[in-house]
Amino acid sequence: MTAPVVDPDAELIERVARADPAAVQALVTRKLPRMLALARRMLGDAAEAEDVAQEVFIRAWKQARNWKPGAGKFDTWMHRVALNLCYDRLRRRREIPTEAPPEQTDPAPRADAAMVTAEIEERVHHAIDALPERQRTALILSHYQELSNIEAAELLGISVEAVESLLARARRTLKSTLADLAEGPR
Amino acid sequence: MDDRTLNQLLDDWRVEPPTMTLRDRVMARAPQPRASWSFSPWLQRGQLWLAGAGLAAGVAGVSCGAIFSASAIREARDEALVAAAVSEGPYAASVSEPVHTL
Repeated sequence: MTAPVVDPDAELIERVARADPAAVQALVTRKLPRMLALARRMLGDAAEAEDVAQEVFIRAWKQARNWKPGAGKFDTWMHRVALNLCYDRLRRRREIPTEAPPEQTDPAPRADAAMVTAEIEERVHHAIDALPERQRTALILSHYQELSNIEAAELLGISVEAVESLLARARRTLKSTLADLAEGPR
Repeated sequence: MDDRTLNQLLDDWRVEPPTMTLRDRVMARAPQPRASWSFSPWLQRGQLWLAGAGLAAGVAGVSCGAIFSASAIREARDEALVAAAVSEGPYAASVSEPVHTL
């Protein structure tokens, strides 16, 4: 028998279910940046990421009323919904390929330091984008969303060892791809 | 490259925070506090009816009172006039004194 999961959001969700305006506000403040960042990194497109984040919340408002405390973390549930919505969009993209890449780059001229930072950011972004989907998702969940390997394994539907393996391979590839950035001045 | 350097590079990929427009879109679909049934509006509505009924009854009462008063005054006045006419008129003595008949 497994012990009930301690959810740090349990009390907040209970209040959201009662339509407490302060709790609703708090949940948006706490989770919207996380959901948007996840979708943004998974999809690489700001507008699509916003749509996904909004959809996650529409479902969260409904789910809050039926949420059973102790069954799992609400944050993990939100991540699962966001990931599924992202997978749907990625699948659709593969089925209907678009000519132009979704990512929009800022054409405005930048100062030197800002330009270097933007270039590094762009390189990192593309290096992560080039990873196989499972590795990319594992890395995003672990590094950017700061989920534990157990939570990432639950979301990906694989074992913790498999997550560790995906992360190790992703990091090895990135180290190789971005090696020249480590040598230059930072 | 060591793990620390890779982590620093990964941290360089930042994403924009949510815009106010997105926050508003999300908040617009949030659950709203339910309007619970309250006795007080019914009470207030009942009071309003009571006040209306009272006012109508009051108006009706005043009207009836005025009609009855006017009629009573009229009746009293007529009686007084008759009494005055009887006591002061040409047949007053015959009325007040005994009539002797043969």
